[in-house]
Amino acid sequence: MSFSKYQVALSGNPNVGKSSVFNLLTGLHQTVGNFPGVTVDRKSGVFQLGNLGKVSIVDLPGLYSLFPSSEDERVVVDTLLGSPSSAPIDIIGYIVDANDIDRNLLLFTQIRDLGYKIVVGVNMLDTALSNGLQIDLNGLSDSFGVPFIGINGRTGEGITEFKTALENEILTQISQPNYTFSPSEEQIAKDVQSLVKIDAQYAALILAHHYKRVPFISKSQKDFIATLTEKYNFNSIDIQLDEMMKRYQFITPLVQKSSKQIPLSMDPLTRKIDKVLTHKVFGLLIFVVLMLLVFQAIFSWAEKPMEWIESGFVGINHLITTVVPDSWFQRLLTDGIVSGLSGVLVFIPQIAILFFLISILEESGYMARVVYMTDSFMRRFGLNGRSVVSLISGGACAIPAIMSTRTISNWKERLTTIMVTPLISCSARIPIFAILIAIAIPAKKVGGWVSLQALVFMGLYVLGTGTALVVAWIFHKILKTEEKSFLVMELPRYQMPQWRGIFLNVWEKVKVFIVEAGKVIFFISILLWFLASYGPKEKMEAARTKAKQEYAISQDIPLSQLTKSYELEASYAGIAGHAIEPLIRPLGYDWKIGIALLTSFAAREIFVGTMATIYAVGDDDNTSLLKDRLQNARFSDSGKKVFTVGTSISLMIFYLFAMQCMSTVAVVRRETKSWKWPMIQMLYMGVLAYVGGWLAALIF
Amino acid sequence: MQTLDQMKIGYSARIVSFKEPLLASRLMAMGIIPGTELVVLRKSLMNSTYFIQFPRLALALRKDEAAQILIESEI
Repeated sequence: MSFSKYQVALSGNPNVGKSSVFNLLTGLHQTVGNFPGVTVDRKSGVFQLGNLGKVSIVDLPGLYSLFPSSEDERVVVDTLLGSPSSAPIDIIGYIVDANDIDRNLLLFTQIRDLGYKIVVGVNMLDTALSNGLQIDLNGLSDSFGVPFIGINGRTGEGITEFKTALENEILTQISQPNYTFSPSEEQIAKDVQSLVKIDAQYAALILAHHYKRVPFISKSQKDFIATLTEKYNFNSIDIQLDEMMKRYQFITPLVQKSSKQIPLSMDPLTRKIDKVLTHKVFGLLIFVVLMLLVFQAIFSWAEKPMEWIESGFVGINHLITTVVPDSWFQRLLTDGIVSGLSGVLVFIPQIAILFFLISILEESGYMARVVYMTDSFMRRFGLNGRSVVSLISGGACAIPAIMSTRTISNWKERLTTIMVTPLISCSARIPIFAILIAIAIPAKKVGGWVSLQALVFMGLYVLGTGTALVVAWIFHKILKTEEKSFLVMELPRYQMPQWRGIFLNVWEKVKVFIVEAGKVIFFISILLWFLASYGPKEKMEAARTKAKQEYAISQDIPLSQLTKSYELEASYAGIAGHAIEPLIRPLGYDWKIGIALLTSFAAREIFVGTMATIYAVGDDDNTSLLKDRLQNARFSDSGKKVFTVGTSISLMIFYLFAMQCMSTVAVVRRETKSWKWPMIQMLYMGVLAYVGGWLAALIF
Repeated sequence: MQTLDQMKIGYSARIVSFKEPLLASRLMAMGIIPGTELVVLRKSLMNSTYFIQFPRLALALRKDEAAQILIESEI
């Protein structure tokens, strides 16, 4: 991005349509990054601002006041206080919802008192009008001394005028703080200003409120402010409440002067919809049915695109084998990198569909209702109503699911959600379950109509979800926090989702998945390819000879596949598989399964491919042949069958619980900003997998 | 004095004050101040979460949060 002279920041309360204004201004010229040091999404972009040329713009997360309660809100306050780690803001585009203009203006007055130039964009004037609320924008502009511009975030109406106002005001506006400080507020603000270099007196007061958590002031400055608060007996919360009351007393008459209003309550349509969708009993049933539909859609709609991606990669492999001469390099490309990437990228359709549907539910206002309905249930397990969204997303893939926990404001509840989300059975486990169920579970019907195999399949999902809740409860008992947990959640009006915003959101999620999963898989697949293709020289030589001898006796299996199978056994991965056999024997596994456990350590979906290689099935997806080979497999020492019902169920449980996904580990590290939590997570999931697998082998 | 959690569905009231200052700060930032009217629209299963309608917005509040809000009911 080129450096532009000016920076605009968009601010406002949540649910005022700020993002749609941002999308209108920037279009595709936007990126999502992080605010420095924290995992709060920072959306920024550039747009053309009249004669000023290209200016940069940042979309600050929505908040209600400068008295923050979540990490998102704290970041905004830090930024507005002039955190040195972000570029200085030249003007604020402040978006309000016309329907709630009076309460939306609280934050506006606070930001203005920080000394910022402001242009107010009044969104949703049309719905306000149909609700009987008439607003005189000129009157408001006169009363508050800054331009109030009518805009429509859906149609783009008024955006040009909004831009013109920004362009004019950035050069000419003189900010006019007008907060009347109480004597004690004035005292402390002045003393803070004497030590911390800060221009606006009101900014100094805000610093006195939040100094403990502001990252850019030094320890000695914090200590100084602490002594000041004691000296002046500064009771932060009470003073906050007084300040807000004073502000409303200032705002309300000015708004009343400029608006004609018949008393309104909630939009009647929203009330009618809520009667059904948030009904005590039916509301929950509808939610369950909706989620089943979402899952149905993920799997049925994604089927074809997934096939296309797979055959696309097969095509790429063919191309490589024709272009690149047969060498270790060719095999690194085809067997290592391309098949590693294809195993990950094949999940893109499912992830895109899931986030498409979830964004619709979010944007329409329905998710807030889900939180209302499920909060008390989830709280029993130390989770939050918002965790539901993440856990559901985990059914497709844990990576975007873990990122979606950012909306949970309480840190302990967020961490707990992150820790248990990978236990929800994701789509990468499906191929493993499918083949093991085919081996172990007879295709019988229970009670004449329910397939036993389907029942076991569902049972695995239920087991994963149930375990996630139990583990969450344990974390809830162990983790300590001082932070109070609040719900206090706005249930916004229902509205038609805006496709533009939804597609941008889906694209963003898919991009993150490709980058996060892709970079981990890329390196690990090279490493694993090396371990599975190379071994001690004499052993590899012996393996090739053995394959030739066996082929001379019987030509049932092509020589190339026999060779691959014996080479894998002789390779470093094969040696490691043999080495861990004593460890996994109690679970009913032999060294061949051991190899697959190791190769799928970084990505569980590799399991089936490895088994196919070991049993010399070849590269084609020949599931029925693999199934036959597995069913006939025997332990080399005892001669007993390997894939008994016990072993198969034990393996399914193992893969249900074990982490076996390095991309998830990388994302958890990023979201928790430490190695501690991903390590604890891998450990507890590993223990669950081992113990669960062992118990299953004992019972069945 | 009566608190919001004791209210039955469909009844309306007026906020008098808040017991818990942190909660008060949050609600006031959303425009909910002493004097604001409200209606209890519905409660979730087991009456653990309240769906409260204020003149300008609807909120989901936990029962223990509602217990921090002092009200005078209107007949």
